[in-house]
Amino acid sequence: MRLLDDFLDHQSILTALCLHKARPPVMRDLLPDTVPSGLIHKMYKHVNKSSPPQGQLPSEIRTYLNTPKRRLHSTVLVCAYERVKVEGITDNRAGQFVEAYQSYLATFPKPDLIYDFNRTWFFLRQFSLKRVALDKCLRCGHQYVYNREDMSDWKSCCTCQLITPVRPDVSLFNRTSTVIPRAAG
Amino acid sequence: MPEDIRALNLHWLMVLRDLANRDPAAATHRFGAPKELIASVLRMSLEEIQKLADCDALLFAPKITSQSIQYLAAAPAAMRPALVGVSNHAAA
Repeated sequence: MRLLDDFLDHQSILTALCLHKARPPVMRDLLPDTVPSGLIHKMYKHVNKSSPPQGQLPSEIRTYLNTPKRRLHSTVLVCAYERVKVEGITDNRAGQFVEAYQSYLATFPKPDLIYDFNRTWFFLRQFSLKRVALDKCLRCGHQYVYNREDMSDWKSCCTCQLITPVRPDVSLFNRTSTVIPRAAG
Repeated sequence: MPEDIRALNLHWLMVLRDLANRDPAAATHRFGAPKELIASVLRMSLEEIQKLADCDALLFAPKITSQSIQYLAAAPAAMRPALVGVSNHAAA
């Protein structure tokens, strides 16, 4: 019964991965070895009515962080992935990637999407491997991802780079320096 | 004021239920509500939802902080969901 449950779980996740056009090497990485590679290929063709595309998978962290807009998209992905793990929505690794990607899709309107599922997989994998990390900006309070292996990338908050606040005088730094009590008399 | 809060609760629950009926995944992400909560709300009748909303305290928590509010107000509307998603409060 346990084997059957596992099989059905993997079937539904495999279908979700195919619907998001995850390429076979990506699915191979996310699914356990008990799911045969032949089934992955067949399922992709069956769901998408075409063969999976060939070519290199993403391999460069910098392309995810080279503009504030890209960094914001990457941060949304990582925050969604963190939430999925913290809230324990699913213990399945592939399921966590799918949930995080669906959250990303729900956050940005379709024409603004930058990353497909394969790019998402690469970046979340780098996050799992601790090559990128999340930090909190002390100025705006939002989080941002940075490349842990590139010191010049530290302290690069995408929100501060993209937006000028409505009232920039209200910030963490001058919150305490407001009223000086007047001397009596 | 208590009437306003009760109305907010009811409106929140009704919109959540409406969206969850059409797209449960979107409801989870937009409302930041766990799947179990959404499933429970979907199982409730209208009377039960009205009863639940009849509470003088808000049933949901804000996703923004005093720090992020200035940036959210200045951001274009299309970017606001992303900022809510990356706010430290949302990840906590």
